[in-house]
Amino acid sequence: MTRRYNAQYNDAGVLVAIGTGPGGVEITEAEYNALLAEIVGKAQAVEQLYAGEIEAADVPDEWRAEVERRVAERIEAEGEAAQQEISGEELAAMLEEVL
Amino acid sequence: MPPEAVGGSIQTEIDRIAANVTAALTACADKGASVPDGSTSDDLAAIIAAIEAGGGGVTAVSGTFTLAADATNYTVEHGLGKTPTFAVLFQDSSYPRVDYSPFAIMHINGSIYGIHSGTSFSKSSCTADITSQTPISKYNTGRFVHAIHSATSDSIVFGYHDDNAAVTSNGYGLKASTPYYWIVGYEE
Repeated sequence: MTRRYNAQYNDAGVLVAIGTGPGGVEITEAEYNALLAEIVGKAQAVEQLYAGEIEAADVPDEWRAEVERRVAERIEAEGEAAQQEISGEELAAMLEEVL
Repeated sequence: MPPEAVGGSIQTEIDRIAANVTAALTACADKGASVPDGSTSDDLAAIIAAIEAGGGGVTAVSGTFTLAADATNYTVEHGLGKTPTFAVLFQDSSYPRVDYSPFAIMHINGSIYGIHSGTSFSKSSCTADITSQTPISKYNTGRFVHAIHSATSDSIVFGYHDDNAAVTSNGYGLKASTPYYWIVGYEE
């Protein structure tokens, strides 16, 4: 069976997700792989910038505005990386790892 | 060769073929096909073609999605043509963005099951059926609530939801760049 690759865009034409199976707009495997590489790269940049591991200047120019916006959204939703609230369950799990 | 021997051989073959046709028509009927009285081998192809693929049981579709950005929920266009009776969402735990996960969530005929952070397997009663948005069908992990809801014959929503049973914008439950695997189906 041939795998179907798809991409989902919002009303503004911004990529929301890629996937396999039904739904979205059909794309080629090469297009899928290219979009996946971009998604993973941006996610890593967001993660590193959020964690303070890199500076905004380290992010590729063409990604910088989006990455900074996503980091700001994450800070608004979850707080600064060093100030996150954790549940008792998560705290217990952390303690189990070190004790 | 004596004429009787030739005639007997042909009759034997006709009887064998007729028995095979009758057996095939009976098998079609056993599979749920409509077999009109008087059906012959001429009708076999049409009768077999009318049998649904899979012959009943479970019909399901599956796929994956990888979000371009963190999101509270995501709508999958499953295209089943019928409202699903079960759905599964599973996150690939080998990817780095699993700080609140991995998780798996299943809604099966009114029960919801969930695995969170690889620590436990739990079953919860649904607060609604799979088609409802409020209240949602959810697996409550304490701080984070993963949910399956709003299923229709064409689409289903997987997501993250606040415990107040409303779709929330507080937090990001589905992670960008992490593959999610889904299965949606219904029982005949």
